[in-house]
Formats: sequence, structure tokens, C-alpha cells
Amino acid sequence: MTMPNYLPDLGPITAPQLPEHISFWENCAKRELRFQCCSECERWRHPPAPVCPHCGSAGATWKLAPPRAELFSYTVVHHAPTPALRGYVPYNIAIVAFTDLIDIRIVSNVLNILPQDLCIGMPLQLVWQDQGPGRVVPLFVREGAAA
Amino acid sequence: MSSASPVRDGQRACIVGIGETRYTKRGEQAGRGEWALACEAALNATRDAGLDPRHIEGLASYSGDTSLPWLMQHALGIQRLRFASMVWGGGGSGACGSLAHAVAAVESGQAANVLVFRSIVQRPGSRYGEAGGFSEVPQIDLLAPFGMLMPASMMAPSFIRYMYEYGIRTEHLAEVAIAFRDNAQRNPRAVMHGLPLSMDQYMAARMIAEPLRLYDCCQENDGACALLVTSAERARDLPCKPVRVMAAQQGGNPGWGSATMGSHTMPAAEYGWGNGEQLSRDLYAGAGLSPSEVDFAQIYDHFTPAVLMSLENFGLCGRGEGGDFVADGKIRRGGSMPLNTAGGLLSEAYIHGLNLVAEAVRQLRGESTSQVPGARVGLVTAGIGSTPISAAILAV
Repeated sequence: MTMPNYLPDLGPITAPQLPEHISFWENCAKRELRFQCCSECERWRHPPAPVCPHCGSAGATWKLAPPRAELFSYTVVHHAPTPALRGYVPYNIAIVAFTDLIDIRIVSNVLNILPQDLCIGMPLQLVWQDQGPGRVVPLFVREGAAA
Repeated sequence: MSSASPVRDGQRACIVGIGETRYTKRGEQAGRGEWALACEAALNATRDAGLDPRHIEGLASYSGDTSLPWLMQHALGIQRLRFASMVWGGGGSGACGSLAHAVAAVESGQAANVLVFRSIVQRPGSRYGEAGGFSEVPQIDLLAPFGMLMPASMMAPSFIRYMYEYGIRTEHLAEVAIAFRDNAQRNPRAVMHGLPLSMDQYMAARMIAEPLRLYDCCQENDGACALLVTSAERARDLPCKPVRVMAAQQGGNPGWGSATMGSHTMPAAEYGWGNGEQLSRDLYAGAGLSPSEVDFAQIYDHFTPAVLMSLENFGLCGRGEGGDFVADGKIRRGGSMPLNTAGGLLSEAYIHGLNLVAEAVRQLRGESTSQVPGARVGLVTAGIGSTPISAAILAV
């Protein structure tokens, strides 16, 4: 028996609209969390953008996220915004920051945790979940906890 | 009062008319539609100003208002349309931005009489607690798979961080909701008129997205609001009491390009605080005024914590002091900084913030239902989050 998904696949609304985002999700499908890094000034950026906000260069490589992450902030959602999520509330939404990467964050969820145990600054560890066809999402657990 | 503006005095923009429809709960005016409401508010504004609606020369709106310029020209019989402007962005962060466009048009001589308006009929399927309105947000793929699909959950993590960093408590949020509801009890136009809110009711309300309970979130309403902007010298020929727009500007701190509707990558030091500092500085400099000269404020209150953040961002109290500032009644009627005197978006109506500008005009004319004695200078803010936000300082 496999673990149920934290949240269900919500369909078309989760599809990338900007071409810059396609590589991000293709990397996720390979279970690799990668961010753009400028080919010129070597500064990282996220969300993906066509040019570097620091130097204007269009060149970028996709570098693996640092292994260490922490909970920067969060919320616990009690009101389901769509009928598909009604059976899932309350669920948490995590804002995850990466150690040594300034002002790069992603929106995610923390698995296997009670709402009252979420606390800003807690160390997190990346895990992957197959959310739906072709969609693998980066999620987190408390550092040291099993996924 | 001095001013940093290079515009000559006669050309300075004034608000000479305000107009509103009835404000109701969501859906109650659906049969009339947004165009009809926009026209009613526009005609009320021109009547208030003593101006023939056919002499409107400019139109300014925001948040993708559906009452398009050609519809308004058609219905209002506008004879000489010279200016039409739409401020980008959803929600109400463009409320003072569209006023800023109108001011620019008037002060540059592009158009003489500019109507600023916003009309809303809340459609089923795009309620503020629903995902429906977000399918066109360009970075939604970074949020939706994680269940971040409504404004409350998009803003909530910044509020949690704000409360964590500055020791803000639920009671502080409650004070904002209860104070504004109290103002609504004196305002018969307010949708929450006749429905006072107690601390027990506030605490017992269901949680939406932590830390936001039901009464921390603004209403969903139908209605329209309009302002008429013209030059000081034209205002002299009108029967109304003109209210000067000392400054109206858009803005937002650097690094906020992918904030609450993106990947929450705004600078860490401002994540739990807001992006109004740069705008605030520009605004007071433009008006030639300081925060200590502000007599009252109409603060964008889509969510209660945003009010505390805005008080700090716009210099009405120190950073991190928002909670203590509201705790002892300062923002209530009779306090040193009365806020949202018509009830605000929480308790008057959520007309995307334009009704906050209308209430500021009423205060400066001495016509508010919670009048601040001797009010000369008022601050209005619009949004605190996605760039650009906007704000204005009005004075008599």
C-alpha cells in the first residue's frame, strides 16, 4: 500500500503558463530540484525568468538546490478553495528557504506533521511525491523524519 | 503646507465629486450588472460635483473593470474623450493608482475632468475563497499544486511571519476588525450596519487560513464607486468643496516582483512586513507633508494584519509597533489616528478600495458618519503585497 498524496492533482490550473517554467517542472519530473543560475554573474534566481535581475544576462544553467532547507513561514488552510480539496483540510502550506541561498524560496507542503508542530526555522528535508500524470512535486519532511 | 510639485497651483488636481451605488452583499445586484452600477456611481459623482457628465474627458479604472471606456462613453454621452487608463493588477492595489493616473492627466493638461471608477458584481465561481479567479495568474503553477489558491492563503504566510517577528497577537487583529465594525454601526451605507461584532463572536468564527479567521477577511460585495478629478481652477467654478490630491502614487519595494502571487521571494527582512516603505517615502515627499501631519487614514483592509503592517509602512507608528498602537483605542473614533471611518473593506464594503478614497473625501468635507473634528489631511492606502501598490494623501 502506498501513502496517499498530501494533496490531489488539481488538473489544468497547475500547468505552467510561462515557457520559462517548463524546465523547472521537467527537472522535478526527474526528481531534481533545480534553480536557474546566471551564466555571467553566477547568481541564482527563482521563479525562473528570461534574464538575470542582477546583470541582465539571458544565459542560465539549472543548478541543484542546496540540500539544507528550513521553514521560512507557513499557513494552515481550513477553508478549501476548491471542491477537490474539501477532503484535505486542514492542510499546511510551507514557504521553504534554502540555507546559503539568499531570497530563493518555494511554496510547498510539510508532510507527516501536526499543524501545531510547525514552527518557523525548523530544518526540512526534500522528498518527492507523484501528484498526478506527469506531475512530481517537491515536498518536505522534518529533517531526520521518514517521508 | 508646501508642495514639492512643479505643477502651477491652478492646475493642481482636486477631487470635486464622489458617487456611489448602494453597497450590498455579493450577488444582490447581479441582475443590474457592472456597467449599470458604474454609470449610476458616475452620475452620482458628476451630480455631486455639479458637472454635466457629458463633460467628462477621461476615464481611469483598475483591476480589469469590465465597464470599458467605449461603454462608458456611450452611456454617459461623453463628448470629448481624451484619456482612458487601466491600472494593472487584480484586487484593490490599483485604487490609488487609478487616482494617480487621473491626477497625471489633469495636471499635465491631457484631460480636464477625469472619472475614476470601480464597479463590482461578484460572480459565482470567482469568490475570494475560491480558486476560480486564479487560472490566469502567470506563476500559479508554483502555488496551485500545494493548495495555495485563494488570496487568504497567499497572504497568510507573510502575516504569520509578521506576527512571529514582532509579537503581534490575535487580539490585535481582533481590535482592527471590531473597531472598523463599530464605525460601520454609524454608517447606514455599510453592509455591516446593524451588525456589531463582539470579541467572543470574532474568536468563535471559523478559521480560513491561519492566522486569518472569518472576520479578518474583507467582504464580498456588489456595488460601484466613482470620483471626479479636475483642476483647482476649474473647481472654483463648481459648487462643491474641492479636496486637494497632495500626492497619489504607485510603488513597491525592490525585490517584490515575485511575492505573494509568485514564489514568495521578496527580501527576507520585508517578507513579514510589506512593500510600502519606498512608496511611503515618495508619497510624503510628493505631498510635502510628514506622517505626523496626518489626521486620519483609510487603510486597505482586505485582511486585518495588513492594516497593522500598513500603519508601520506608512510611518503612522514605528516598525513592529502596529499591535501596541491599536491596542489602546488609537484607531477608534476619538482616538489619535482614526482609521477606516466608514467601516472599511471589512465592514462598509469591498469595492476594491475605491470606497476608502470616497470616505477620505467625506472626512475632509466634514461629512463622515464618524467625523474626525477638524480633519485637514488624510492618508489612503491601496494594497500591501503584490507590486505595484498605491497610496494617496488628500487635504483641504
